Amino acid sequence: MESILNSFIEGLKNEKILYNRCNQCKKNFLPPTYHCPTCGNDKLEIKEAQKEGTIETFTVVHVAPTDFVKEAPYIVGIVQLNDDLRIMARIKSTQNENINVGDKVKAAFDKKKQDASILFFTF
Amino acid sequence: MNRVFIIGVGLTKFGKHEQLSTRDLFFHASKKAIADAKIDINEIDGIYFGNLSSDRFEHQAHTAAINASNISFRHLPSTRIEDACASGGVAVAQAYLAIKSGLHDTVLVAGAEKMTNLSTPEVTDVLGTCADDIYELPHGITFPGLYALMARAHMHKYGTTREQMSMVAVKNHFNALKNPYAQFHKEITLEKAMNSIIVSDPLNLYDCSPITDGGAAIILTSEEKIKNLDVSPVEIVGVGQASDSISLANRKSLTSIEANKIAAKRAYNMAQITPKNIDIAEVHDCFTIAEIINIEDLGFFEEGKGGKAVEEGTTAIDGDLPINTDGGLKAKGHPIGATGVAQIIELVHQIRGTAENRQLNGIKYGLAQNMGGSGATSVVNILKEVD
Repeated sequence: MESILNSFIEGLKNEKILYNRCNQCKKNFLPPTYHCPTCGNDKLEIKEAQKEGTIETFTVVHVAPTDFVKEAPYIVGIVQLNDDLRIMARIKSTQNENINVGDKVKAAFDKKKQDASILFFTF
Repeated sequence: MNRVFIIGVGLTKFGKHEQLSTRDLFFHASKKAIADAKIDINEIDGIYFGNLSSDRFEHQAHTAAINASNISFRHLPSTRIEDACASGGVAVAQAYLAIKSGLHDTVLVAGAEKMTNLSTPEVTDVLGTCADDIYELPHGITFPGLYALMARAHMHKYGTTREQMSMVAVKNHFNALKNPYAQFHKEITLEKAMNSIIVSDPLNLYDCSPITDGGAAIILTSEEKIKNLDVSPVEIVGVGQASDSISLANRKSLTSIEANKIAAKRAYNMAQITPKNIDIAEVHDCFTIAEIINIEDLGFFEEGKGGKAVEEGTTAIDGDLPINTDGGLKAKGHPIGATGVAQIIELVHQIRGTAENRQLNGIKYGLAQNMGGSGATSVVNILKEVD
């Protein structure tokens, strides 16, 4: 038996955003799972997404969970990648950009992390 | 097939109960519901209990059995339901099923949560377990954060405003003034709601439901049993539930909640009615934007028009479709497991005419929508006046 999580996290460790394409209805989706959420087919391909996208929505978290209190405030966004894919990640910037929905961002990878937070986006 | 009726309701005051635990909140709400139904505890043959996380809040799991042995010596079957913040509404749906199937005749459905003993960051951690631990939580997202993501998307797509979100809070605080069980009895101005501290931009403190201790309980029974009772029963005529990806980014839309739409459709179909038949609704306003999205998903208003409906007073207690007449989660309080049961209690009061000074006239159909996480579970229960 294998975990559906490993391929995604392993991909991030190799600076790749991996997603699934359904070979029946041709829909793309993230994260990888056991069957297509649109048609239920379980014949899925693993593909690599482009490393740039646009901000679809974002929030500035001020009241944070205990593990993140020291980092607050920070920005979490949902980024639209190519092929109808959406992904949640931090949006980090060195300057205080005035962030807007629709802004272009690019993927970056923090190799010190071990989980989905390896991925973040920058301008 | 059996028809299913609600014959008794009971609530504890919602708020901070320093001396009470989950087991106390369950017991006091349940005793009131049994008394309201004018039945003996020995009439009850099963218990369903909605609770999110007594494990994390109080280091106590297995609360369904504790509750059963505290209220009866008859070794009743007792089951805890955990479906995030929809635990209470799903417990009602499961109890409905138990009676509908003929397994039980009379069932106690309760929900309770003890939350105020932890700090705000600790409560944020516990509630966070209802989001995706793999794809969401590593980014430091919170529930206010998840709803803030939906709020900004809704504002961007439809022009929903910060003012309209704050108006939900103002309305629900106003309604709570007339609910003696509510956590807050404090009228707020639009200006105050809009200028409170930022929790997760664009949501501020008054966009968020509070941390609450509380218990709620109802008694359900079969058609056969109500014949001998001296109460005004209210019938459950529609039950619909749906699930979705718990990870917000992976759902079909960021501006509506698919599980709501599907659960509502299932409930309307069972009740053989449309949204137009609903006279009053209790919706899951864990955040102000949630009330706006929910009233759209339930078919009361077109997508993108929910904010406008609030602004125009359509959802006010004296409006065409009163929403959250008891103050909602926002002002009545949100003791997670109790919430879905407490929503049903307000509908029962309004339908049978026991809502006291917030009583509305001519309420035939009431709808309760209770939601888990950022919308991966939705349960809709429709209640009807007995002709």
